[in-house]
Amino acid sequence: MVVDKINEAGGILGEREISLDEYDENTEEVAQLYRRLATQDDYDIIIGFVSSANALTVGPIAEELQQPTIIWDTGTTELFDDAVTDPQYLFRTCASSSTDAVGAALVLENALTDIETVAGVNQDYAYGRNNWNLFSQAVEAFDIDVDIVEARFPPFGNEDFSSTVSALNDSNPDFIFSSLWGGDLVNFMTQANDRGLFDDTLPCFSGGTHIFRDAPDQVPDGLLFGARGPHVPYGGFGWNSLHDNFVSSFESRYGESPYAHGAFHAWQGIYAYVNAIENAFNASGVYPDNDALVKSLEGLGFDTPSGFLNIPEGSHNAIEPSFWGLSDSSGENLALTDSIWIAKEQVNPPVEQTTEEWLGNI
Amino acid sequence: MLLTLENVRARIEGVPVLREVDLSVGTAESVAIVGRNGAGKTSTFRTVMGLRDLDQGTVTFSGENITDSSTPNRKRLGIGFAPEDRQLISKLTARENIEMSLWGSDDELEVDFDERLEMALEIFPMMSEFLDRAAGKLSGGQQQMVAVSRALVSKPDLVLLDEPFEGLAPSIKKDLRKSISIIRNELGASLFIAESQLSHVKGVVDRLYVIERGEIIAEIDDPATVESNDELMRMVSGG
Amino acid sequence: MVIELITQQIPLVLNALFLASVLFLLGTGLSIIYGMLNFLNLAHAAFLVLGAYVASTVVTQIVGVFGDTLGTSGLFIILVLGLLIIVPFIIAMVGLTMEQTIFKPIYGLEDDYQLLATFGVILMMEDGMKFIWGGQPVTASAPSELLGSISLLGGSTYPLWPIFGTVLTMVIGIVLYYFFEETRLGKITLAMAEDDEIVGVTGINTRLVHLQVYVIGITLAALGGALFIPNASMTSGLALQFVILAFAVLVIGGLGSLKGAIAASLLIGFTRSFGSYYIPQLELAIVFILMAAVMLIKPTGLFGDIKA
Repeated sequence: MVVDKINEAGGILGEREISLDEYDENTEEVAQLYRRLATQDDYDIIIGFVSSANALTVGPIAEELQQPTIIWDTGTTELFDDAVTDPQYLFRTCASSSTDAVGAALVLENALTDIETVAGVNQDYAYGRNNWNLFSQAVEAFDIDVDIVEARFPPFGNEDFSSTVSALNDSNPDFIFSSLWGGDLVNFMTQANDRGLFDDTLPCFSGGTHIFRDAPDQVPDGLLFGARGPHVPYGGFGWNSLHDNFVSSFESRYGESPYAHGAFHAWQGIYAYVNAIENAFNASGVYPDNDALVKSLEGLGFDTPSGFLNIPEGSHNAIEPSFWGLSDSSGENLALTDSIWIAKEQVNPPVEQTTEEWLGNI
Repeated sequence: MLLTLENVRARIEGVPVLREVDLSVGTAESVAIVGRNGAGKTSTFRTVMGLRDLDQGTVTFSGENITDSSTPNRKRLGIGFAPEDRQLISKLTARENIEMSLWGSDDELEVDFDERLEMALEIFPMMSEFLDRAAGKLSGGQQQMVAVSRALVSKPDLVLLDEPFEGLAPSIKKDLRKSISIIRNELGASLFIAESQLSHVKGVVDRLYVIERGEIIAEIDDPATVESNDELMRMVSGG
Repeated sequence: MVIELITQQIPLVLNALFLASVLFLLGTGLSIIYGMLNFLNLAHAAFLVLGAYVASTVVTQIVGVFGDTLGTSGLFIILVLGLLIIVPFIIAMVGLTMEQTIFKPIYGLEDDYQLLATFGVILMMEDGMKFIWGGQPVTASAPSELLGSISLLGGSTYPLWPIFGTVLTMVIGIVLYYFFEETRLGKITLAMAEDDEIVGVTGINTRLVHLQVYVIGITLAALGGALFIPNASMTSGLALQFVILAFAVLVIGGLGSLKGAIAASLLIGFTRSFGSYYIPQLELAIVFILMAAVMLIKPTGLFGDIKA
């Protein structure tokens, strides 16, 4: 949709239309697919990837093949902390999980001071483990006065959460930090609602707003949601016109609202590329080659439907503010209200530090 | 002729088991096929039942070409088969094993199983003692009675008995011989018996075929005159 | 303290029983189809997933049509009828079509090839379901919500749907037992498991019996999906999860054994439920540990006599 819109307006710089080929990243052979795209098919840019495992696989190959690549949705901090420590060609145009997990810990410190006991439910794979590690490190680093009573790692793609929910019911924490998403989140919510888990426990889902679309009847009012950054169609405050345009064109095209943050992240990924090219062209007067494109992406900043997004100078990783709100079904659309914003600098490490180093030295 | 096999050839895993089999069984006639183990008797019967893929040849029953028809169909056309190793269902009772033979027939509703069982009990009176025992727990002789009864209760036009005497105690063999005579004389069905021992069928059958290495090597119209297997072998080898 | 410990176990037992119910419906079908028809269908579990998807559509449609006109109990009854009749019927139709076109040519193959071929069928079915229902999770919580929940000793809330599902599965189990022990088709099915050739020799149309048993098997799986979905959600990736669980039931219980399927489902249900409560680290591994243990002690499975 975003690409169609750009092309309708004449393409990048008003003259170059983007020709888009789509591939499914859900393949066993993501490395092979990536290599083929990078070497044989000669794409200017490869944009995509949601899964942590795929991003971690593809990252080093991008550097090896010198292929400009934008990761648009993967959160794991391992991408630039471990897998590609000195990126030249690899960029990420969305927040890392630091925004979500450190942000959630800071919510406890700043807004929910009466919380005493905390538990975690995160999927047992890179993304879930990474989120919980960051969250518990942040709790320690900021010396937040809560007890962590339980940390659960149900398998990724799990059909049954009943005993996990029973265990949480019994340890009865005040607050649950959870990066669950997809079918697991819907499953967990359904079984938790059924068993009254949220009657006296406030859950905080760091990337769960897609459930507003998948299973709206499973979203009680007053649960805390984040959206991997400030990416909700409804709620919050003071959205710019890009936001309103994006939401309404998404709705008229797909017949549903962009409750999944991935839609916003996709927008950011594509426009990061478009803006980088236009900036480079405006500066030099020639259409940028790979190296000029990469240079232009470094330090890039532009307006998005979710506010101003920037890739700090010296970094290849965009940073986003941490955003939270309470589910609210009172209006026309399910929304996040009573929102909490935490500035992007507060939830991300300085450019010269990895997330681990930063959290270890506060 | 009730049953005719013409120019039948078959192989198992490439090895010919039936080379050229031509034979026939007439209405109300009793015929035996005699040969050593592995000569092709069981293959011949399985061919009649549609349990063996043929390379070529035709099987005709009651004037109908049944070469390509399914096993259950052949049974419904009127062929009852008591296989060599009896093949009873061990978990079901003897009674259920026999009754199974009626479960697939088209006129099942009109058939009174008790009446048919009565008929089988006249042939094998001893069977009443173990009708409700699981078939897996029966002795070899008892199993044979059940297997033959199963082939009979649907009142077929042709009954195939594959080595019915094998593995039975001598006294039981005698009883079985008597029972087969009753079948032959009172049921009006054609009988086709496979045997390795001439003595078992002598006096029971009207005619016999000798099979050797998958080929019918002789047809004997008056089996009563043959004394023993040895004499039979001498006759067919031209000695 | 002791009382608290006991009340703590109640939801775990109920969780275990419901999980066992779904597993029983899933595993029994696979077991009878393999045991009686000698067809090792890896794709069997995909019929549970398909059942769950179809159930979500059926529930949505029923709520859309009758939601405003019927009272709570009336709507609940219609929904249950939808789940127990319409869903299995649709799956039976889909399953029969697939049997005629895809499975029939596979019957003659060795087990290994059947496994490979039916694994391909899973991938096909997964993509097909993704095409129809999308990659997003689907739910059908209306029946569970209408039924509500109860307060257990110790004050915790517990949904009634899993209890209802467990009772329903027990009824289905009794019906199945009656079917195999008492009905003619049940006996023929047992006979076919032992010796399908002789069943043909007695004039019974084995192909028809085969189809009937096959339909019963996949219908059970579909019922498993229909009972599962009101209390959970379905995503296409879960199919493989259910494939593993279905085979766990088969291996632990023994092939073609109804008693084995019951015992294995309960064993897995309880181990899984209590295991993921007390030793959550082993949640995934626990089923495999159980499988390995059973295979070491009794390679034929708890009630089977065929080597797995």
